[in-house]
Amino acid sequence: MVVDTNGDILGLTRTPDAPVFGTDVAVQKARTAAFFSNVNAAAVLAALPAASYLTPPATSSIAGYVTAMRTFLGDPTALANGIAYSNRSVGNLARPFFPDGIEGTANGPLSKPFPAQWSPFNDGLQLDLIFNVLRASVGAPVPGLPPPLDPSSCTGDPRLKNGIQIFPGSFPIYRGPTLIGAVGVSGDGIDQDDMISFLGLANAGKALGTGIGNAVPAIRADTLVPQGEGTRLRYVNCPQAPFNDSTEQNVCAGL
Amino acid sequence: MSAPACSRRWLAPIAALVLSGSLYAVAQVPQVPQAQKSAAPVVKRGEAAPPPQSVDGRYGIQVLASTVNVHAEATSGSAVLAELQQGARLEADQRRGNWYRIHLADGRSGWIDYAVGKSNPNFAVDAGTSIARGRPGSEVGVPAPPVDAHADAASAPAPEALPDDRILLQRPMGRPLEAIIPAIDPSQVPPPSPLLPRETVPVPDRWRIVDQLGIVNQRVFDPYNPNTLKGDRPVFGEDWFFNLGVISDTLFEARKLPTPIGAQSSQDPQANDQFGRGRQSTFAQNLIVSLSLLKGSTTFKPPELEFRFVPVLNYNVSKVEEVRALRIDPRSGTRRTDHFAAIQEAFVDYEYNIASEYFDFDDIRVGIQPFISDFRGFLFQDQPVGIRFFGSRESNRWQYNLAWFRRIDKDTNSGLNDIGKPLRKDDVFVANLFRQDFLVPGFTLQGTVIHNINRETAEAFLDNNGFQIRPAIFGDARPHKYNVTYLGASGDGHFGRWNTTASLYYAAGRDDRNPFSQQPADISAFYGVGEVSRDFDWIRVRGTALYASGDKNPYDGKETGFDAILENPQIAGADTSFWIRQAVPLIGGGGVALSGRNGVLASLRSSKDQGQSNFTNPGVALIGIGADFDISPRWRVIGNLNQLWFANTTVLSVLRNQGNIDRNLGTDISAAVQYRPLFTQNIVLNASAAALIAGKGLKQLYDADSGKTQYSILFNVLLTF
Repeated sequence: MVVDTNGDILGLTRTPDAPVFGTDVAVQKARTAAFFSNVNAAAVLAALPAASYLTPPATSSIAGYVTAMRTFLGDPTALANGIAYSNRSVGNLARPFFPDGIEGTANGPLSKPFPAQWSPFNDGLQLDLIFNVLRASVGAPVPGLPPPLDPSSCTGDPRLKNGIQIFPGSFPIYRGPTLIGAVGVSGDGIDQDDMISFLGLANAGKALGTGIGNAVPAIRADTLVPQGEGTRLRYVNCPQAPFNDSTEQNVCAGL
Repeated sequence: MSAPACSRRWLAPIAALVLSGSLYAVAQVPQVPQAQKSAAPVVKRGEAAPPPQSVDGRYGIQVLASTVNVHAEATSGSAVLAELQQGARLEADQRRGNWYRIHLADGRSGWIDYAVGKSNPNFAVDAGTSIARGRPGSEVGVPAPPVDAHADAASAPAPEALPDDRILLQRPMGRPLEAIIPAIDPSQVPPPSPLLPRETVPVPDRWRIVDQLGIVNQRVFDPYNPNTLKGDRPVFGEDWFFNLGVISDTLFEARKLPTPIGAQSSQDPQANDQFGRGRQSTFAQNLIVSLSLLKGSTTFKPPELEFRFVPVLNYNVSKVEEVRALRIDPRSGTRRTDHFAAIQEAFVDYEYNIASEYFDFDDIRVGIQPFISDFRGFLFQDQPVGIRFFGSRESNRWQYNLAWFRRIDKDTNSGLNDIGKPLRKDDVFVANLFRQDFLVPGFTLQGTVIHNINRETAEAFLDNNGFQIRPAIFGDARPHKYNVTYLGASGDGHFGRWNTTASLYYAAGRDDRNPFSQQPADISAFYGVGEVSRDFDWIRVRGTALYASGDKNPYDGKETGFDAILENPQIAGADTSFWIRQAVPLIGGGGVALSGRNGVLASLRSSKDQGQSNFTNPGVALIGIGADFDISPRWRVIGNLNQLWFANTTVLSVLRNQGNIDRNLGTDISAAVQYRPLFTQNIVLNASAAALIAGKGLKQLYDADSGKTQYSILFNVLLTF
């Protein structure tokens, strides 16, 4: 699934056996990569209304996530400085543990504290972005909410019409230094999704010769080391021996 | 008993004859020997028994006392003519009771007294060569020694007779075997005389005789000469010994192995794939202190009771180039430092039975003790806690072991016993029998049955570095338990000049859940290994062949890959070989390694010493040659070349989702140098280099950079007290 910087779908392709929900996921992933790599990301998020929970009543500020990101990364210009985020990088930051999988650590800035608040049904920014619209769709709209920029969007913002995804499989597309869109893949697994989108984009760029391709390595999110040694964000992770009848390894190296 | 001289004079000679006659019948005395026998021997208390009579009346005399007076007459009251010195040899030609007539150098004759009033004789008497002594009753023509008619009856020689029941050592019709005191060198130390003032020095026990003579002074740091710390002398009592051993083992290893990029993070930017940079290094220092208290007689017989305690201190540092390789938390970085104090041995050994005069024994040993299942550690070599009965028969030609062990969990980074963790739910039952000198002298055969019951079904046991090792992240990674019985036959020794060692094992059992088929499965696997070597002067050449079966289908109900309980094989140049010594990783097939450290099997365990056995593995085949060159007593050079294959790569293909992985594992080439500066094992320095040149199969598993050739370099210093 390829989208432009506004999240509009430019093209879609699927194998005959792909499940239908995979289409939904692929576009979510692409839109997430395009959004977070956009220099307007912080401004857009800060302008969104807080998610308003039902029971017990509480609000969760979307702008608060921007602040959390900037504090966590130690960079006051985060989400406004054009760092290229793949969905793997966003996922690193959107887990209840950072680094992911290590018990007893604090949550990532896009997530909620564990075990105090986090659950699969309360996972941070991903839920909070769509919560108000989800409430309204089951007949309990938030009273006094300002009208959204895009009434057809789950998040109220036209760039994220069906919300974000927080697991790997999408990469922003650049022409030189300029962000022009994103590609997202939903398939057999996160490493395969990464490879198809990342390697596909790299090969497409080579084939087309029009200057499009992956972000230059200097601006990728894997240059960020938020909390000291061992906390570097990942950008892409391609699987071992991915090609049929071939023993080629490290297929994404150097790209 | 003096009688009036004139009236009894005629009696005196006869009386003297009768009473001076000895057991050694004198023919012209017609008395029945029985009469002589019944004659009560009269020997004054405290006096030495007189020597036997001579046939021809001649006696060889050697003076034992420091001086002996020569009297004019055969009475102590008569004048002293001269004094004989100790060691003097002369001949006596007459005997009168206890007195012997000798001739002095100036021609005079005199009499010397054998031992009147003393318990030690003054001189030794050799009763000549033509002695005819018979048992009482035998006819022997022995002229009676002439009795001096002038002998004073009042001072008749004291009645003397040998005890009638004195045993006479004699060959039939030959001469009696009498101990003859050899010629005494007057400059020699004289034999001790009980009546002389004591010239003795008190010695606490026989072990300290050398001490008391002041010949050797004990040096506490010298283990080669008598040293109480080394069990050469008792520490208390007569037979309680203490033996101290201290070993320092320092190791540095640098190597290049495939290393995965950390999953949720990476050390460097642009880490886009699975395989990272592979350089690693390890430093480890072990201090092993062996304390042993024995009751016994050291080398004279096996100890009756032993208490042994062996603590070990370990310090280790490892460095790699990727995060999440040493510890599961990538924030721990690329360097890991750890230390640990372990108890490797703590047992009581009691010898409850000595079965023969050759000290065949039966022992029971309870506690944390070392155990090795066969000659080279192929199946089970560990320091578990348990109870072991062992012993020998037929002068050590038969040996047996009967044991139950419960395995102790290990400290992950040192591999030592961690008694702070709960004991593993893993029991090993052992019954084995050794026969020495089987077929030929110098070859020992062993038959063994080992049963392993594992019940480790707890969820998510993590090792010290945070990695989950039980159940292994392998297949569906669900807890499972198993029972397996190993039937083994091993041999070790030599046939003539050919040194051989061989082992065969068959494993049969049941796994209650196979991680691929997710069903119970039967275990049926085998293992065979043989090594032959021969010495050519200072060169030893060896050849090895090894086969461990693999599993051809992880989804059927049978697990046919062989796995040991805890292997530590000394084969095919184990210490230097890359494949055996290093833990070769798998990367991308689960949280398991292809082979374990100090292991030859491609066992696909999560951890060799902390994980469960895994019988769903590709198996391994090895053919190798090697040679040891004893260049000098100090220097030894070792070289090994092994070719390795997988037995069946189906399991690897399934794990890695990769078809048709080739069976060729690779070529393992290594060389080592050993230096012993003092010619002894007290200081040993090792340096070795090893490389695994990947075969087609291994190349398919790894990337071109770190997978083509994996190598290691090692330095080791071993100091032993």
